[in-house]
Amino acid sequence: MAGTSPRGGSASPALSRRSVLQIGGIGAFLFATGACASGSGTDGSDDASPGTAADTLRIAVSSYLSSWDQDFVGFDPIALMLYKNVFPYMIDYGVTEVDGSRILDTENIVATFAESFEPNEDQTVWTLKLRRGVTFASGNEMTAADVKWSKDRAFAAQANVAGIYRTIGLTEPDQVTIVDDYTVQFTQAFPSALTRQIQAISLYVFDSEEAKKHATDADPWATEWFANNAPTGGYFNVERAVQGQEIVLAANEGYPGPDPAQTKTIRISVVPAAANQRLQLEAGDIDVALGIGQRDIADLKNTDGVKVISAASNEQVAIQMSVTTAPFDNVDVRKALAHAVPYDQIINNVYGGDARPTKSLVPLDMPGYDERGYPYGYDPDAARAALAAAGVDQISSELVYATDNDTQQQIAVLVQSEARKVGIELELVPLDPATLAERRQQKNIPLQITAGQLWVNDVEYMLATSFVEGANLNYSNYVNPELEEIYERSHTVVDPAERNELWLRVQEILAADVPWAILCQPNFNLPVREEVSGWVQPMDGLARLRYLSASA
Amino acid sequence: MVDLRAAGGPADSADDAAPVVATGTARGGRFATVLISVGATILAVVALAAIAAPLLSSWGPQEIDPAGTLLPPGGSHPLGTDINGMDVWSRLLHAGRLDLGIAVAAVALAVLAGTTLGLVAGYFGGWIDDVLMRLLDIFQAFPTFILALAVAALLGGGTVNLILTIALVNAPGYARLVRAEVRSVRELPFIDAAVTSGASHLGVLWRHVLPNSLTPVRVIAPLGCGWAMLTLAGLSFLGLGISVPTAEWGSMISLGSPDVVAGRWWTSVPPGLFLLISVFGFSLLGEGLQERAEAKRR
Amino acid sequence: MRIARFVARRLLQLVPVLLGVIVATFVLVRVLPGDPIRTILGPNATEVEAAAARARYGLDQPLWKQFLDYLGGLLTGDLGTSIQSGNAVAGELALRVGPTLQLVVLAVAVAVLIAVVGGIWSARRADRAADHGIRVLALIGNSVPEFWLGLVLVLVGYSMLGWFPAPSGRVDPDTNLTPITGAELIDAALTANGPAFTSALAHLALPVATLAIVVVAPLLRSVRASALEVLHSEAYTAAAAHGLRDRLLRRGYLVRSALVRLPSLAALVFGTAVGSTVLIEYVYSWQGFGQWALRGLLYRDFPVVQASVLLIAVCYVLVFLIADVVHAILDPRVKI
Repeated sequence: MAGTSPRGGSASPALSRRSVLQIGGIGAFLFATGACASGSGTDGSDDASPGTAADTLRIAVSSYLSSWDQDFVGFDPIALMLYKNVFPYMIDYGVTEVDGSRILDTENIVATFAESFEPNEDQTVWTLKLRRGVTFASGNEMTAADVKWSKDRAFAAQANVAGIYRTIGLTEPDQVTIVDDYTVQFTQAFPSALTRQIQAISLYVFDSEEAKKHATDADPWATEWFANNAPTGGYFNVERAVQGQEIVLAANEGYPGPDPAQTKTIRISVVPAAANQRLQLEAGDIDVALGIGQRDIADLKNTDGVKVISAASNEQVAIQMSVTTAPFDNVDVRKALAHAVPYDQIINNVYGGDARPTKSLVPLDMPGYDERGYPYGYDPDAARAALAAAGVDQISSELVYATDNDTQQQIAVLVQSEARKVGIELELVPLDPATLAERRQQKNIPLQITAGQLWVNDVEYMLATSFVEGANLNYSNYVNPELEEIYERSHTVVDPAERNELWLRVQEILAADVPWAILCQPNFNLPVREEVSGWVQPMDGLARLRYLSASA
Repeated sequence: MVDLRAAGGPADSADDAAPVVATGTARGGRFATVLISVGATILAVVALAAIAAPLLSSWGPQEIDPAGTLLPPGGSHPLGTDINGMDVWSRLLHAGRLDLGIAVAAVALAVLAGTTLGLVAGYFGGWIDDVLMRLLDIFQAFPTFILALAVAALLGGGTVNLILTIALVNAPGYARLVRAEVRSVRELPFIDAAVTSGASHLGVLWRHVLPNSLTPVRVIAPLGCGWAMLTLAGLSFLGLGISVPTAEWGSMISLGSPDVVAGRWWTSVPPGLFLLISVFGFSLLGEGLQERAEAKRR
Repeated sequence: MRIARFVARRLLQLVPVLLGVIVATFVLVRVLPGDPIRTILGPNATEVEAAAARARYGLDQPLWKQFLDYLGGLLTGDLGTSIQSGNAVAGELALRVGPTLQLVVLAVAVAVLIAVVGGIWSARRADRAADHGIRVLALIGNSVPEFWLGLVLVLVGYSMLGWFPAPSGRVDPDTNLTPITGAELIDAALTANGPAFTSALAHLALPVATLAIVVVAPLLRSVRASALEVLHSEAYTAAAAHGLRDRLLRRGYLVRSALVRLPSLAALVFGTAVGSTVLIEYVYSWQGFGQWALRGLLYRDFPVVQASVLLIAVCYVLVFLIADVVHAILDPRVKI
């Protein structure tokens, strides 16, 4: 019998019955491990005994954060939410109850890491007093030097914080002074009603001693170190952060302020596809899904084991019309579009009824809101009349929206369909983030769908960000001299009643000029497992994880 | 889907190679006929349905039904409605026009461009050939879908741009094929005879070289159409292709994919199936043609 | 050695091609519409801030200087800094190549295995129902849109049957796997972490299956065709007539010859697989190279796009080279 070994170094498997069995065996092994692994994956959160609080909360987000450095990061909502929880913020909003649900209270700012934050008589000098003995993870104590270094860094970065500091009259680093080891003073150029809210956003602190160890001549603010290493000393510490796996947060036992973290460990996993988040929520693999879209919310309301936390929100969805681009440079054409939009159909079809109609460009719950701010409703006849007043029969233009945004796409389709009926032909143009940013820069977008919420609950801030000349969110290129004048005046008017009068005038102006078609304010919906409680609705859209807990 | 052009890749190894030769039996010849006829029939049915779409559906492809979104199949909607309230069945049929149309147009354009390049490179040889081949090498150093992504990002969406994108990405393959054929045909004695007897280069190219070099292209083209459809769907799925509210299978799948999880199969499964069936039709056709070509070579 | 000279000659031929790729990508990515700087600054940025950011990434320099800097960086292994994250691109790349390669290599390996087994089995029953059946099945697999297939497999394998883990992440975090290469299977093997290994396998099952199903057809056809050629050759018929045992016939004659063209085709398939990973990674939340590259393209992150395109081109080209060499070794007809 000849030898059975093949000549040469053939690497192919033998094709005998034995090999088929081998392959079959491997297949069976794979299935078995699959069954085991999926089994081990699903009983993570059911382990604790009934009646006690679970130790771990599992949250899903839709992307990994791009950087840990809050001063130098781009616009990244996931990162911003994480920062809110892992940076030590000196002050934050308190909590209040409205209609049975808890929300962050913009009228009531409390000192969390700090001991107090108070103004002087004329409200130009604000004093921040720190607590003693609060440390970062490195062991370094949190002192005034850290606050000063952090805000110097913010000014040097010329980014978000420097921008909003300008609105309260802080433009130079030397307006921030160290009085002693635990006291810092902020001397504003003018008193502002916005200070507490602005500082709630801006007073986050880095471990400056640790930072100086990693700073170099070329990189004096240690940007490379901070991009890759999470900050410490916040409400939570980052225990582990591995690309593509998870971010694990551990409650900071040394947090000195009110409302400490209710859950010891929070595990954040990255699940980009909303459908997958939904699957995992239904299976109990995660407890909170931050990133599920509108279309799954309706289904999840009826799913066992899952509840949808719903709260009124100040998010505004609008179509911003460019007043400098034809054909919307004509106010009658803008009015025509405002009458052509099917507001109720949008609220019902896109949001399943889960959105509030609104009658002003000022958000619904903002002090000063008035129904006269937007006197336009769905009225095709009025739309055609407005077009006739503009002297045209038929116009065509483009409606721009963000490319992977489900709700914006649905809104666009509805608006296109109705606008066509009154003689406005719109081409739908979905744009990727880079092209959208570029075109916004070039200010050549006639119509765009925007959605967002203001971080400071005040009309002055709204004007500063969205309606004064050159404002960053002023995509409609809107300018109105009277509005500018009111804005200037509002800097120094501190009395609420007086401010509300100003705001009424603002809304009358905006109603006449109609630079936006304001669609609705969708409610905030968060699907979570039944056992999760403690949710506090954030008006800036950034979840405060320390209030969350899950009973097992 | 794997792009089943026989030649591919930057190295010259496959340059002079013809499609894989296989032997078969007489039964193989009949199998080839079966493949071709079944493939052609499938494609004919899909094309017919697409053309007759307005007759076969009671809603327009972009008509919004005020009764609601994501309605299950039933009533006037044989396959229900999608997230925008549009009739799925109508969109399914109308999408066939765009998908089939773009795929065939793109491949036609690619064949045209590729054949011209291949003819020129193969016939004239020399430095023209070298330069063209180097350029093609650079093109083919990218996997085709990646190249399609980049070009689509550059040109943007829209029917014409997508035809250009897919054609651009496919053309090098055909160029290589034709070039290989031309090089072998060029050596044949009757070409020499034609040139010596005074025929112009162009005349020789047109009358003698071209007809003989197109055989592999005819065989590969159907498979290329299938690949073009999948690329179009893939680009639309990622948001770089045809966009809403135009009906196209890939973008329908993209719109409907979050619904699968909820058990709403009718928004994404039917377009995927139609896509699968159409591409399968092209694959059968191509496989049959290849089978027959191989049988002839024996 | 002749093979070494063959390889060296081929490598030299590749240099101009790669140079062409580098230049083409550099130009292409800057020609794309869209401004990467604006995407990272968010809506509150002023012109001053944008200019500062542009300077930080060297984008205010003239184009030729940017290109030279880029080339110089390439030679020292510095692939630039990602505009989106501020991290070194080389580092981000290293993190993500492992998981994707793991997926692609496994899928192609599984596909090759099925192709070899199925192709030879099919060839030996040529033109009978079984043969036709297998070929048609493979064709169907080849015609399926991979993103749709992924969705369906998730629905069936996870949602309905519960056999496979949720499509998020590549390994169960409870297993505490230390990342070394980024490829979980290798890391688990290196650290002798049993649970991590099985967990990684379980997470790999569905994406590998998706990719393998899609690429198996051309491989199967190639094996079948080569096998048929051998089966009908005179040498084989003679050997069979002499009464050689079946197993010897198969091992000695059939398999080796049938595999001759496989390397080239596997290389071609490898390229397609790399393209498909972009779609498959999205469906399975793989957080690998494909998703990173796509995101870079959508945000016009120049260094990321340049690096990922370059890597893909290099891999693609190298794979073809290896395939050629293997082909040359296996097939005595090819002159080196």
